[in-house]
Amino acid sequence: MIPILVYNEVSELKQKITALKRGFTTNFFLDIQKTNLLILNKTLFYREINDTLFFFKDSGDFINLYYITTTNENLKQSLQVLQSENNKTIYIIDLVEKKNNIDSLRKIFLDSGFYQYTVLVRMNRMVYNPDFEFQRNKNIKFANQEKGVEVYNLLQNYFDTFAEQLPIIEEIELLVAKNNIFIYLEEDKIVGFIIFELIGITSYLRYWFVHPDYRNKKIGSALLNTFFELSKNTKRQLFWVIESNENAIKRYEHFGFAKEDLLDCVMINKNKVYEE
Amino acid sequence: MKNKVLNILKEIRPEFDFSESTNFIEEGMLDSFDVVSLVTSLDEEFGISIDGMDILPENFSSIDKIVYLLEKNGVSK
Repeated sequence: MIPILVYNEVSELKQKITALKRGFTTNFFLDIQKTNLLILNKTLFYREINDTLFFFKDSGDFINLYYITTTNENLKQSLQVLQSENNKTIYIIDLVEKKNNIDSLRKIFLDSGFYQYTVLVRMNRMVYNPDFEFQRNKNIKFANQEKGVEVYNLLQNYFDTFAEQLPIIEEIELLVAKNNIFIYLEEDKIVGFIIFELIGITSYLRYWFVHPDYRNKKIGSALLNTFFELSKNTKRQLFWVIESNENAIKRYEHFGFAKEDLLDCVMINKNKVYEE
Repeated sequence: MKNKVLNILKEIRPEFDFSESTNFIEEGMLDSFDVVSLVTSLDEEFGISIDGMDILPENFSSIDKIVYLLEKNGVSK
């Protein structure tokens, strides 16, 4: 694996594939800012196998795998080479595709030594409501850097590190600086939080958490209302939810969200470490 | 060419009116997944292979920028 040292290398590597003029398919959707954070942290690497570029994000106990390639057939052959050389590394890969197209892509990975770990579906709400009536909750505040560290630890302890692409601490610091994390405090302890991003007319609800010991106290809805207030000048609100979590989906539908036809199929490779 | 580009954008994100926007990326109408979908659709529609160095969000932020990119990658007006 070769380390990526500057963002321009990513563009140059993409160019290697497109210059072949044999097609272009990828799951590498990281934005420039997030990619640069990984590069600064020295956690982004690449490797060429046939006409496929694999990118590896070192996430500690496992590797998030990305690819840029020409065709699905080429991807399959390159994956088999990668898997044949490895029996200890845990690879997690996110396949983001429309529902109609996901099966053929998923099959490539199932045939190449991967399990399906989970599937997430994106939900959206097309609502523009600048007159949203908001009742401020005195327990809800924007996180400062110290509380940001506490949020980071809660993410690590309560969220699925394989499935939910948790932010690194440097990303949390950036989110805190932009007031993109607000917390619900009970006697200075964080019992709930939301992490979100506003991009123009779209608002992304990235993580929504209520501590298990504090559920059914309307903390979740207070946090969500705060999110709606902060998003009131957007026209679209989005987030990802585990497809099989019907209770959660019903709650979100109650707030006006609907499932899109976009899925994130999280695959994990068969390996001795995971199976043990 | 502009109409073809507009139609492709409408297929990717039918919920938005791209003809009224000056910057699809800053305005949150296209995310990174949409940009990749757009590249694939443009490659197929115009029979080209957009140069990897050009696959940056800012090059897909308006219809004029997309048209410029297509011409740069060999599509004639």
